[in-house]
Amino acid sequence: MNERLFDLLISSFGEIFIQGIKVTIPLTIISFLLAMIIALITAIVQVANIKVFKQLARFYVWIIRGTPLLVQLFVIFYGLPSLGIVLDAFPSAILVFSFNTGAYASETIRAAIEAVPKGQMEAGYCVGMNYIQIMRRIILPQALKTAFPPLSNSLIGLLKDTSLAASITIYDMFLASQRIAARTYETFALYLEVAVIYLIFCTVLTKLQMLCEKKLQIE
Amino acid sequence: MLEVKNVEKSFGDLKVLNGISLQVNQKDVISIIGPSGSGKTTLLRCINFLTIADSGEMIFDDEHFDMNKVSKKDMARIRKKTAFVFQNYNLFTNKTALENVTEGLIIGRKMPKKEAEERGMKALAKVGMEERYNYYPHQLSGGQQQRVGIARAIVSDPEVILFDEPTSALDPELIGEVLEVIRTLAKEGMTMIIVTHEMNFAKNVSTKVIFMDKGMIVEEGKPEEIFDFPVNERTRQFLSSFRMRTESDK
Repeated sequence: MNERLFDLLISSFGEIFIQGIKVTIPLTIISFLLAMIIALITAIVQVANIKVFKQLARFYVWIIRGTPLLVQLFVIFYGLPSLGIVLDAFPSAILVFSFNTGAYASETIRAAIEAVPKGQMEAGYCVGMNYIQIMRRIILPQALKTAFPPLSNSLIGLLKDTSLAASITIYDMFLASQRIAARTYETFALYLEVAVIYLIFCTVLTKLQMLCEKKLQIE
Repeated sequence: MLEVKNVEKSFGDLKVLNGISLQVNQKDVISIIGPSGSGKTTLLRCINFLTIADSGEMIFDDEHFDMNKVSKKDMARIRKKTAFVFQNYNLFTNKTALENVTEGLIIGRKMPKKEAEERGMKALAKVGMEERYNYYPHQLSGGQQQRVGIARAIVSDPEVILFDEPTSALDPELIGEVLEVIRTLAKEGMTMIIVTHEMNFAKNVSTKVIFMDKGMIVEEGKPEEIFDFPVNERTRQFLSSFRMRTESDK
């Protein structure tokens, strides 16, 4: 490797990495937290069989899972302005990512709730608790333990998917690497470099997941 | 105290309960015996509304209820006067032994935590599980789990406890410890309905034995009547098959 390329990789690493800290990570975390709230509500209205809301939940999951994430981003950011609704790039991205991840995660949580044995609910009724109390204190804690590994998967997936936000002008890690590549023409090296940085972030998340799972196991 | 009349229940084309009537007085220990599929468990579940009967009347502490159309509120009220012990224990897997016992008091009945824990420890002591109050269900043997299940049932001072085959899921060497606990409750005058396959236990503990077959009560009476002088042919057949099994075990 020649010296000039080596220097470029060193100097660009910081430039890309800082966008990860400033943009990619916040975008991921905020979207994921919102996604969890959306997923929980979407799963519960289906399990609790609440009319109309259950149909709405199925419709939402159907639409989101049946259309590409990149297209969803374009509809919200480039499409909505023609209806007079103008959202900045960052809120658009948060909106799309949280509803997208929420749809998939709701299916994970729904399956985990349904996997809790029926006897847990019956025992709850028999000791004098009502549906909401049993759900909150008994069923959901057990379900979330089951759902934890697949939800971690969703989080890692989301972190990588946020690179699509570059296409709606969000200056994240990927757009940072694109700009440097355009300036220096070292496309191969820079896209490899940004790939490695994504890998670093994902590895950290995977390690965190393993730690948390161990803790859940002990409990 | 508790009476059900003409309880009927079908699952699809299968008539599981065909007009069952049952009266329970205070301090009764009623054992329900009979072959598998005779409707014993379904009857118990209908009394606690875990299964909703197709028809039937319930009289509980002088209040009348239509068992098919009981409101959610009445359901909760009746359940709070009763307790249920499950065949497969159904302890809350995310709660410790003590939490299993206190959860219903604290959350369902809004009892202060400290008072609930005192009562919970007393209930655990009664079933010999106070030293393991901090254990999770998966850290306990089947017999220990079922004893916690019984502690969870007695902690709320129910008017009647319903036992659904409390020893059927246990290894033979663990059955004794659970039966011993139930026997103690019987001596103290706890009102209980017990669905069981433990014939010797039923004979020794019950004030009344009911033999069910094909969704009907075939014969009922004092334990010595049913076990030593059964009148009905089907009761005789059923009991002799049990006797044969006990003989061949020896």
